[in-house]
Amino acid sequence: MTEFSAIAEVLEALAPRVEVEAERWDDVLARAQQLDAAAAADGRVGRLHSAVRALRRRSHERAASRRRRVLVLVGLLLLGFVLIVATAYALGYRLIDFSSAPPAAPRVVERFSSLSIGAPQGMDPRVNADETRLVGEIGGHKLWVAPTKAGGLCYEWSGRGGGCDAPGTVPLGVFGFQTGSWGGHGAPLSEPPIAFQAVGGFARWRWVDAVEIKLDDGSTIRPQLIWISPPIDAGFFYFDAPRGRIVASVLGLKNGEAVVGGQMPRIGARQEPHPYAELSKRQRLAAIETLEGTAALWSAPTKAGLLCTWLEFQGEEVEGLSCLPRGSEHEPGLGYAVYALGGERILAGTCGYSAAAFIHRDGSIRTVSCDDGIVFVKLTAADAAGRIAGVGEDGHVLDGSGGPVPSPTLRR
Amino acid sequence: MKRSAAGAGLDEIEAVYRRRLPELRRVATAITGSREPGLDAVQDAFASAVHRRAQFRGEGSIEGWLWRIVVNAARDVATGLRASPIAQADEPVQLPEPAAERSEPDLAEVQALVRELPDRQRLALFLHYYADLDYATIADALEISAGTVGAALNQAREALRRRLAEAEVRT
Repeated sequence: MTEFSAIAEVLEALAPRVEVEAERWDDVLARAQQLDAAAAADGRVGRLHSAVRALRRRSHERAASRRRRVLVLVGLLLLGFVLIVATAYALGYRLIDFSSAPPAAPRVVERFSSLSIGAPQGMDPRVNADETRLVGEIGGHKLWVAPTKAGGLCYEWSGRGGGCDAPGTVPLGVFGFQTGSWGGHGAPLSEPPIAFQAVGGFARWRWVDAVEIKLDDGSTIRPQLIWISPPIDAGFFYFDAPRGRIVASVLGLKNGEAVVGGQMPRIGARQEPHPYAELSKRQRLAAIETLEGTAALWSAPTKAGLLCTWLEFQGEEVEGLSCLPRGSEHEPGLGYAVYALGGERILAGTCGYSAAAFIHRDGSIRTVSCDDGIVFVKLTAADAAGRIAGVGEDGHVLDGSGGPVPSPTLRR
Repeated sequence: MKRSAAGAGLDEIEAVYRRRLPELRRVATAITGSREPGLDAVQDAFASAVHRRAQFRGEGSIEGWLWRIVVNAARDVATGLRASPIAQADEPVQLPEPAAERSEPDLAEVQALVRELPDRQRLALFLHYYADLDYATIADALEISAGTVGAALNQAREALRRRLAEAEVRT
């Protein structure tokens, strides 16, 4: 640091002066127009809510009046009231009509398009980038969303990053954000635990109708969900914890009951991927013996109709594989990871085919069956050096449905 | 440019943008730690200002209000660049983020040195040094008193001097 002998030099190095720069006022106005359009679309939905509330208010008044006059009508009016309340309940959240939201700027569309470029086999979200729309601002951050070809979604918050649920089967997707110093993506396990001061994400109405955020002091918050109409069909939320507080957990609720979610991940800490699985109904799907103990794959249903699958080694849970709607495990596709457990390399994951094939470098093929949508197998050296693919009903290897066998993500 | 009436004019916002763009971009770059995200933050901030111009209450200067929006936008971007994805979608895909552009070996040290300063001190220093803003405008931008601006600047300079000296001793 000897070259920086003065504060001015430090600041000059941090943000050097640039003499010639083009102004882009037109771009400012274009971005502002998008915000105006997004606000207008939101306003239309707001007026719809007002109308529903007014309708409900008037129905209350009418019901009270008629109850005094004609007893027979009471039942009918109550029925009407119930219907209106039910409607208001359904609409009692902020709603965004996706088709009315303004299209995203070209630079945003380009970012969504880039998700498919160079994506490993099986990891391409197949997003309809041209349909990306600015659906509004949540927590002070602009939110862009695009549907995927498989019925899922990809999203991005301005300055916050984003993600995809390509098949549309994730009940609750959560993103954690830090406002303090941070070691970066993929920090090693020796790093101190990460603490998140802000969270955002999405919920799917089919499984989750509310989100509850618990802070480290035990207080809970239910952030407003901003529901976006089909083809997105999901509610988004964002929450900044008060100064000095961190987010301890994010739960998805259905009818007031926690159905999915868990502790916020902390690097180096044990995860709980299935806190709402009904463990009394758990089943051991498969087991592999190693020199140092048993690696077993377990599954259990949740009250929300999901099926959670996790991996245990030596009787301890080491990784949650998935918590997906029942039936989705049979959708064509492969999702897998390799674990180094007890001196063995074990591949575990979901398999929507009758079997999975390991294609070795010498051209030979080893096939293993996929039972209940699961692949769980001890790898040979040839398997580990080769590729994996699904096997179709006719017995043909569907090359391209998988990809190279990855390196172990976890070692015990 | 003090006003008594509520609402900011589009032409006034544009005038600040055109007059102050180099300084705005430098401050945003310093806050985000990278040039492209900094430029983007300025564009987004002014778009937001145009969109919300009716909300300007005339309680301070328009320039101070605009600086406040830019600083907040850049801070959002800086926070986002340090965001970490956690248990999320089944097949999580991280959207590409703008990469840091500079790679001089000591830049990271410089950034770390400045980033160690408390938020208020660091931002006051950026606004004062890069934009040469007076204390009143910095106060508007950071929503603090002018007296606090002076104190924050003194503390920032003192802390930087001390850390620079320590760094030189180490080398």
